[in-house]
Amino acid sequence: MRTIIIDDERLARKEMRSMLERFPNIEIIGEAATADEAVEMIEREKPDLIFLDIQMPGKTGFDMLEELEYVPKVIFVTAYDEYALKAFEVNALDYLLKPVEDHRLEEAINKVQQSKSPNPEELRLPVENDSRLAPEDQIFLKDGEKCWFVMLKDVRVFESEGNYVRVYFDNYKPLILKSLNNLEKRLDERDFFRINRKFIVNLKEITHIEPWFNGGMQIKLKNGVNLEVSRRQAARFKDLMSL
Amino acid sequence: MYINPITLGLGMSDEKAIYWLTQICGWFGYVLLILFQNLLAGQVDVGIIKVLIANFVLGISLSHAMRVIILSLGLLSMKILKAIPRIISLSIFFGIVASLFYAGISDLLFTNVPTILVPPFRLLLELFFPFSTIYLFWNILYFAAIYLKNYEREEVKNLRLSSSIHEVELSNLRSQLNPHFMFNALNSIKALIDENPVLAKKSLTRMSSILRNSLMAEKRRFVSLDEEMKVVQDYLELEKIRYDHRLDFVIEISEKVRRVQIPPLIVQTCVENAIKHGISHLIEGGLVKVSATSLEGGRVEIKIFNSGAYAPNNKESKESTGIGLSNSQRRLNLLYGNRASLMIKSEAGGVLCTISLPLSEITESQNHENNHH
Repeated sequence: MRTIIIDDERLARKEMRSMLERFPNIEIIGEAATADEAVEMIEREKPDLIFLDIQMPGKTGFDMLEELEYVPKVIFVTAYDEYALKAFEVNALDYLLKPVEDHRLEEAINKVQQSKSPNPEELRLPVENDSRLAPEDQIFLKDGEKCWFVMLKDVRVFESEGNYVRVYFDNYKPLILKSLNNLEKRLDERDFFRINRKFIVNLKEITHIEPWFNGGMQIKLKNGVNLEVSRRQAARFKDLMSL
Repeated sequence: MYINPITLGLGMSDEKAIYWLTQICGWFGYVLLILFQNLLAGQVDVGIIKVLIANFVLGISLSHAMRVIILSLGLLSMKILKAIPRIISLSIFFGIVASLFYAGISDLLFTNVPTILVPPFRLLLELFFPFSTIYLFWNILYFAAIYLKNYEREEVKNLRLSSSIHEVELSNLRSQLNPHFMFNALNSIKALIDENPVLAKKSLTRMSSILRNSLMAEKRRFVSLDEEMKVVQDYLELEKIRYDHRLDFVIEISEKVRRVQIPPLIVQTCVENAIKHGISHLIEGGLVKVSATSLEGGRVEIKIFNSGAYAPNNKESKESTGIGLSNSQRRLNLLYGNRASLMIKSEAGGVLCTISLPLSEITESQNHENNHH
């Protein structure tokens, strides 16, 4: 796994590097000391895994993740910060406490490897060809002090709210600072379809489709919510759904 | 000593009421005693009422006058050994005054003829001794009550102080021996063991010294500035390992103030804040400067400067600086009243925290503390 270590402290990076020596499948391709450096390196190198210190000058690790277009697997490393760890509503990935114990590091790496799909090459290809996200890709969401790692396929609906987008998944609906238009460009319309000006819907969530007034359509989601497909999008929707 | 004006107000009227109630009850008891004595001796007639009333009125008014003198002489705040001879002389003086008065009125009372105001010498002598004894007794009770009250007040003050020290200790575990600092430092030392074993050893020793010091801090009310600066130095050296070229620090302590006594960890808390809220946010790093000088008028001023940005409304600082700083301020307030201060303000190119302490008061309190042990 191509890995980047992100920590503002030189000695901490050095220590992590030396601890990772005994894992032959971890290939360290770079180190970053600040969030900005890290964002640039991650977008350029598209690593499989990053070790991320939460407290860094200027921006925290969370702020950094929020800026990423491409989110690799993340193992958080922190000295001690209940507050920061509490931020995670859905703790999709692991975190390590400094000084890191060998067996905890091993566990964390195993966990990351298991969460990988069996054929990594196939998964990475679409990401490299265009920047669109696959259903299995994880996204990082941050609303105020709370953070989530979510698999894209677990999101039901994206709803536009001014300059923000509300993301519906599980029992959560965080508000993130993104525009629905930008988001639409990053999603594959075979998975997520823009039904009108306000909503992008996960197609796997749709249970019923009915014709509606003015040539529009109404769709029903698994959780019973009804949403309207605009007339303009209805034609496109039919094209997409028919063989 | 700082006393809340509101509580002082309440206390005053309360104390006044208690004082007058005690006066009335006391002297009433005293005349009752006279009555019983006379009853036992079988010398009761209507005239006794006059005697009793005279004794009662005389007792209250003279003892109140005596209290006015006690207060104006400042006997209450005197050391007890210095106060005792004064109390005795005062009692004798009032014994004489009372005898004169009593002899004067007893003529009025018993003969109904105001013949002479100078009573027979023998009568005066007879009266003087018991009256002096009574006023001495009154003084003993009065001073005992005052001392008891002061003792209680001191106890409350000590309790409040110790609970605040306790809180500081608790918040030390969060900020001082801020676990974040501790684990990061341990992690750095771990990496240093390979890279620079000599520095690794030094750092471990520094770490233990900081640990030991913060464990001891709760037991001591004062440490010398020199001792405190050793902790600060150890702390900064350790942070320097972590921050590398991002941290520079300067410590300048004037020779005069090295032995000044200060509350433990008061400088350290500010230095930690300087790192946590100043340097740690600066990508390029910055400078921490600690200096201590003596000021005119027997004061010592300790300044902690960092080249960070001042953000009092920062979400993060609300959480932790809040505790550390307000705790330090409260400790200073309890120890020195309004004669000490701790202030933070933004300065050209950074943030300056200034601690100002009265020098003489420190040694006084220190002695006081020693006396207690």
